[in-house]
Amino acid sequence: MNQQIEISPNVLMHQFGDEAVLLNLNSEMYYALNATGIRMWQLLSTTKTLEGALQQMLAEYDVDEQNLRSDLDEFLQMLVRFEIVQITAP
Amino acid sequence: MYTFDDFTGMIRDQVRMNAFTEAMRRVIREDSVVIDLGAGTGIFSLLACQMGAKHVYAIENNPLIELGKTFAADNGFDNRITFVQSLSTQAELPEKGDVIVADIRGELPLYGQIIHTFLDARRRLLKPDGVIIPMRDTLFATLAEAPTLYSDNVLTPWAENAFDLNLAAGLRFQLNTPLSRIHRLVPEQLLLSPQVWAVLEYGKREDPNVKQTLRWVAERKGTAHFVDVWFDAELVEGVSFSSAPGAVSPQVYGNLLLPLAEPLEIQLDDQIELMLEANYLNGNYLYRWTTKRTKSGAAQPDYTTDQSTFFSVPFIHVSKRANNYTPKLNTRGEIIAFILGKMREGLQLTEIAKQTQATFPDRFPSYSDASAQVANLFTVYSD
Repeated sequence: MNQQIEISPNVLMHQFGDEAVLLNLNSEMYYALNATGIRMWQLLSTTKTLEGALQQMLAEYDVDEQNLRSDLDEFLQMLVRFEIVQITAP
Repeated sequence: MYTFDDFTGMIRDQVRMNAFTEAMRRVIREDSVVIDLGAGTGIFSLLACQMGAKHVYAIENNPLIELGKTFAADNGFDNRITFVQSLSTQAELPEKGDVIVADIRGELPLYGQIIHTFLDARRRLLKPDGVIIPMRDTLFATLAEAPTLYSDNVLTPWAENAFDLNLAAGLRFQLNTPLSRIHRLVPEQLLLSPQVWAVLEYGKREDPNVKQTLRWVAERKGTAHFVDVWFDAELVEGVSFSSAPGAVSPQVYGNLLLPLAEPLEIQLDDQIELMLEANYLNGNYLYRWTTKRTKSGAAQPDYTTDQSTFFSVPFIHVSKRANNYTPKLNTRGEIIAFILGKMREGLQLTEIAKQTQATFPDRFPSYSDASAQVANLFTVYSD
């Protein structure tokens, strides 16, 4: 849970309103985000940990912690699969 | 795809034509087999015949290649030129060439599938000891001072306009859009000594992407507004031209002017860093330029901008490329699928157009509207 999230320097984010697309210039993969995805991305990018993003989102939204943790983890695994972020040991 | 006017401009361009003619003259022999790759209307093919080439294969995907056949006949070369309307990467030739001549650049050499095209051609279409014209392009980059150009063509109308309208949202797009080639700078506008950003050896290169970080210590002060990129071409040993500011340059090429997000003031001894990369993506080049200034004596940069042509692409174009996007066929897609299905059934234009109009009456109020759509698809998707 304390693993560090490292964003690839080759990733660009193009945002338009409440939608965004992440592009990994190396893998040439695009990944679309909705409004929730954008917020998750912003918090994962700034806090650099899943736990940090989770606590911030719990403060912002009235959601069940277990569900949110599961959604965030799923989102993070997707970002890893798309080579947008790497997870490193603390 | 180039237009007829583009081809006209290329042939009218004396600097370009003189250089290519001289390069061809130096390597084409009487027994040469020449491959004119991206032949356009076949001007290089005709010149190669004039120089005595044994045979020329003129490969061009643009339908305007048809005009080349007329030129060949009118000049008595029709039995020495084989015209192939195709992408060169899909062309099959009965023999390999001694010489490939190609001008498939855009404003800059990094254009479309250029690297892949040369790579494929030298592997499949060229003899092992064959010659490629052009041999090499060297791309240079620096920062340039151009306040009026920046004000008139970047800030206006987005940051400032005469209509009393708030158009500020457009500025982000403009700041990530290169200026077109009609703008030419003079050497005095270059604030830092130009550095080599990339060397494209067409006989060797495999990687279509370029990424290089350039660093300077400022030797003069000024305010930078653009990253300026141009190239020197070496067609064969000793035959070259340049699109550098101040050079006698072919008009068909230009400088790539990438605006800076904020004008960058530079003082003597400031350290400037420019990371410039071009990535081949979906048939085009996407540019990214990251600019940093560290003031003389400081440890950390106090100016950093990260820009990319990615941010100036209409959002809908990128969102639909997302690997996690699930498309739903729209009416236009339904119409195309319907017509292609009828083509597969072997029906003729009249019958397909009638059925198309009957099935999509809102889109095709008249038979003529439907017929035009069907004919357009015939030209692309039928043999």
